[in-house]
Amino acid sequence: MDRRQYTEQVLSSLRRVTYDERESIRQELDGHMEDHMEALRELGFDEQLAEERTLAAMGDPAEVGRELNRQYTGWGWVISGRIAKLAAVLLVVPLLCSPILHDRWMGPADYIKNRLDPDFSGTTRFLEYAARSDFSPDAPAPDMTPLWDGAESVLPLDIRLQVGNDELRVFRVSVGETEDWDTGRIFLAAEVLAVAYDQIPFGLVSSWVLGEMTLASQDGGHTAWCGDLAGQDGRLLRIQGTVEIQPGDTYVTLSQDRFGQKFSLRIPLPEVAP
Amino acid sequence: MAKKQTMDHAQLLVLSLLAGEDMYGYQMIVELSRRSDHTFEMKEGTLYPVLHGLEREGLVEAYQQEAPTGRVRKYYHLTRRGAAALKEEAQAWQTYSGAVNAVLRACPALGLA
Repeated sequence: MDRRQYTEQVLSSLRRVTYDERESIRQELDGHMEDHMEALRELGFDEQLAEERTLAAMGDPAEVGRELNRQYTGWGWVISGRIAKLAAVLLVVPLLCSPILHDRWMGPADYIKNRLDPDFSGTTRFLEYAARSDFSPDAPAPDMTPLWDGAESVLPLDIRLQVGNDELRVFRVSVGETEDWDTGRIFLAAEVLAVAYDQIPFGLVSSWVLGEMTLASQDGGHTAWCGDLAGQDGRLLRIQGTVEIQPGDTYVTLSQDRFGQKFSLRIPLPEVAP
Repeated sequence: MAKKQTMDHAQLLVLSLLAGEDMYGYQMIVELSRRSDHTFEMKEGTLYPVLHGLEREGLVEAYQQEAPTGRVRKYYHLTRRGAAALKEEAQAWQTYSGAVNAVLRACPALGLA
């Protein structure tokens, strides 16, 4: 029997070790025997005698293997090592969608529903709040009645824009008359509705970039705040913006230039009967 | 009453070797033989089941280190838990061996007293 055979015989007793563990044990035993032989060579032993003495000092490989095997108790170690990554994913994803993590966040079912078919009901109150406070110093706060309940003309859209790791999806644009809350003036406006979310489901969306954008009329004569209405969930933004337009305008422009994210998205308008 | 001995002798000896410095397997064998004046000359292969068992229990931890000769060796390091276990087991051993000695000394036929 030589060193290689000794190690192989020890390893043959191991039933419940991973490939990495097996190789680590092989390396350790080989290294040990090499150290021992080296010491004997220095004492003047020839190669063959040094190996014989070393193997004799190691003891019965079957016994060493049996004892070693006892230390690796059960498949639990092997299995746990292999499924650790899977378990991490299975634990983390529900945690991210869990309302426990953040009491204002929607549950997973609501999240998925809103991503596919956004629901803006219940967000009006926040819109009013945003209108009445100094919400964004960069752009005027929305100061008009939302259109989504009474628009004269509605154009369903599906315009998707990748912004960093996030996706902005404009899904509806409406044109109709609306009322300025401060002055009571009635005017023609276009309203854009969109959602924004991380490309990875339940990931966080950058509300600093997509939560507050600028919506401009075709000639650039009017601009308005366009951003997150709900202001509650860090993973899904429900975005709305309303800007005054001129009769005959064919598009409005949604734009952002903040934190290195710069884009300008032209959104077509539905035709309005004169 | 003192805590009962729960560790076998090989485990206790290995932990005490590692209390001074981190060592690799062959180094432990040589050191054990030297310190015990060749009384403890275990079959060298049986050291590894002991070490791996202690590692699984978290009493020692292992790391790879390259020797000046270029060979990579697996070194063992006594963890904080291992140091606490060593202290406890060493005390239990002292109590046990003291009791055995006391009984032996009281045996007239041995003439140890």
